[in-house]
Amino acid sequence: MATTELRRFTRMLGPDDLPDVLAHPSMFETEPLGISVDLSGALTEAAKLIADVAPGAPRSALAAWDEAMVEPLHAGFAGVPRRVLSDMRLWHWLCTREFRDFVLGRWCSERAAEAYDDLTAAERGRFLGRPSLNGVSRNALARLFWCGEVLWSKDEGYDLARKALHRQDLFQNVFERKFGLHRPAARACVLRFSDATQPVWRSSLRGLDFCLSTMVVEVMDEGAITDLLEEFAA
Amino acid sequence: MSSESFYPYTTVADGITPMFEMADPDVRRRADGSWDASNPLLEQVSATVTLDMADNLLDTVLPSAERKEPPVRVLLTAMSVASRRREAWSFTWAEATGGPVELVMPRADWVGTVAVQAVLVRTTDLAHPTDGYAAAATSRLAWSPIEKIAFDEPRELPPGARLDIRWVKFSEGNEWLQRCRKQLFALQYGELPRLLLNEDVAGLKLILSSTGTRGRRPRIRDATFMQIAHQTWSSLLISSLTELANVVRDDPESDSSTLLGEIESWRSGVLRDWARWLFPEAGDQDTAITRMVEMVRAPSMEDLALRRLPYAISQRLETWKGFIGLSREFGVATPEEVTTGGDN
Repeated sequence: MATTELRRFTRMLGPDDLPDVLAHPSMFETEPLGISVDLSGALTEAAKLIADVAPGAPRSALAAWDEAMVEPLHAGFAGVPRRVLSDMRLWHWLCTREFRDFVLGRWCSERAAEAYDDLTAAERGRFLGRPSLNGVSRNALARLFWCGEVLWSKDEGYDLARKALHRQDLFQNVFERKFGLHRPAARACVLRFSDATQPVWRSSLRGLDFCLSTMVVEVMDEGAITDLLEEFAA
Repeated sequence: MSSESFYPYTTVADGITPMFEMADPDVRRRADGSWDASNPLLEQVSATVTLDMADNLLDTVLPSAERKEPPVRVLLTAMSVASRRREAWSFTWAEATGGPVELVMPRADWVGTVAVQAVLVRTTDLAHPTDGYAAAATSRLAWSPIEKIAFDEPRELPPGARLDIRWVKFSEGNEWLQRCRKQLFALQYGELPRLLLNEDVAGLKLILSSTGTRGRRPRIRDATFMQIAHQTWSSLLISSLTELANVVRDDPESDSSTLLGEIESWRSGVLRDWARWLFPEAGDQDTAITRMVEMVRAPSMEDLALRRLPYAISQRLETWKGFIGLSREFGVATPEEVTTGGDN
């Protein structure tokens, strides 16, 4: 079993650091976390996705990369404490080192992938990000891990996570809201709306958000949240 | 004006007062009121919490028919975006009012600052909806002020009026600095922002490092400094306000304290520090911060960015003094002309 010794940068990286980090990785100090994980499945899958991409393929085709990566990536971190996984410096390190080519291929233009200074702010956010709702949901790998963490179940495995990642706009609208931190709420939203039209899920999620300003989501189970969503979607 | 939530039924804000007693004496209150649990050797935060209920709390939030067997539970909720976690500990009314309840939060599960709040919620739907009372199960009936538990040291904030400054030869820097090689300065956004001054510009270091208050060199120094300072703080403030706007867009309901906690700490430090200068009419810092968030919440930040921001920077740094000193030194205007506005 090939293992990866996890490290993190000694400081949070900012967008201005990124070109240098990608061009000269050794310039930026890292520290070991004392944890080794098996990321061979995720690294193999990433390499396969990069190798298989057809020249001139539309960027929309790359969205399927997330669905393919969520399972091996999430499974690779089994047993790692939440405190370690919540540290964005770990994800910065993974995105700029071990999975650099995956992030470049999935999210960046060909031009930017060759001239790092040309990376746009949005592209830089795919490597970096703060530990905020927005920051995590944009980081190329953290978003996959936390999506798998919230939506995995013993019966369905990663099916629901793949459904969420299939609809990027729905994914962001669920996981960039605070109710998305409550597992039953995130599950109910993705289950109910993975096949719904955008106007339906947009207005329903706004309705749920509004409702939760007077209701306490922590005491609501998946069924109660689904009932609320049905009311808004009707 | 502070922001306020309006409920379509009777509620009691701050109707519960939680009193925390930490099991570990090392977990102490900080000056800002939060609990300091940042000691890495601490395996968990363990507390007994006495929940003091406001007088007649149930009579206020429940119709009379329900008061004998109140359909409520008391929760201690904990939320931390950085931990990607929200959790609740649930107690019956009798448990919550019969003595202290226990709260255990393992360090492995929580990071950053966690907001803990006591909340009274309905457990069932109201059988016969009654005007003025919450009818739906899980409705929030009463709550406490938020207690904050800090599992990590806050990152160092740059004070609003100071900035890390470095002299660098832009010609020897990275590609971005080389592109800026004719400029006097550049701002670098990292974990903390840094002002880079260009050593390649002939005389810049000599002038800006000069001491003294009289003569040509100090006058040019002050005028140049004001130009750099104005542009630098404009960039830092716009950048921080833009990030705050992104957070507000994603989370329109939260209060200003929560929203500022969501952005990078140096940015929230900058905004907190400048709030009173941006909203001098607010009177105190808290009101100024609330107004700033409200203005960011509005569809357009035009007034803030185009009118208030340059005014605040000019007022705080007194940037006009650089020009006045320079014009006096070079005899362009006499002190009297400067005072009276020249030809007027």
